[in-house]
Amino acid sequence: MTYSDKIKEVLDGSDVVLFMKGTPQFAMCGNSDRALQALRRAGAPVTAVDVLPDPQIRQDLTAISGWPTIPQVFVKGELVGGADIVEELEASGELSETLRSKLGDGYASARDETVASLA
Amino acid sequence: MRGLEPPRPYGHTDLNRARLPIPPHPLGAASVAAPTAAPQPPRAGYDRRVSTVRLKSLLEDAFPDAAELDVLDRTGGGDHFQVVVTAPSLTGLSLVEQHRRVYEALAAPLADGTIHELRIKTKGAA
Repeated sequence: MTYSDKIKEVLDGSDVVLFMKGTPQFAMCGNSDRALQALRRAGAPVTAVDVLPDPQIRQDLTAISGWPTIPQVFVKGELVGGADIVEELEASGELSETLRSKLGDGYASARDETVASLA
Repeated sequence: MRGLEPPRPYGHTDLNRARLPIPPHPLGAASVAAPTAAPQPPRAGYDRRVSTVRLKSLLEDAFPDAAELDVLDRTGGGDHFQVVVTAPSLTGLSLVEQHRRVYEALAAPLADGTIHELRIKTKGAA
């Protein structure tokens, strides 16, 4: 099973996916952490995927999303953006709006943070 | 008495073993006939400093109508950048699409690895 398949599987199976460098417990990049914190503030049920174990993960992810940088945030399989966008949306309240419209009103109560491993 | 040796204009010729490992005095370094380091040729294909000038000209090409266009080297290291673009051509696009335009404009410096980090702030012009 290639990384592309695994990435698609995670995107299909999880509501909010954050591809990041490191893990939520220990982010290896300030921008990954910025995105994570913004998602936490919005109460999103984050599934975090570490892209560092294999450079190929990053390449396959970029091939799928057409987005060159990490982190990348997906809601219901759709690219929301990188750290700057997520922070901006969170600050303006749009992030919660998007989450509510796509995941339903109770999305924050289902909040749990999980880590998916591709490697 | 480490470091108190007089500088030796013709290199170290005193072979007294007790004194051999003593390095030249730091303050005397200029007067020591030190071997001059040959200037390093620039490494091919790896220009570490993408100047903000280069990024700015790439963005100006991509957003000729920009009302505001700014590139900031955030750390002074030539690889962490903050880009601000306000342009009418971005009006009506989602943030994802707006950022994509910026990524497209900077595809070359992104692909060759010279941009390590890129922060983007875009707006459609009123």
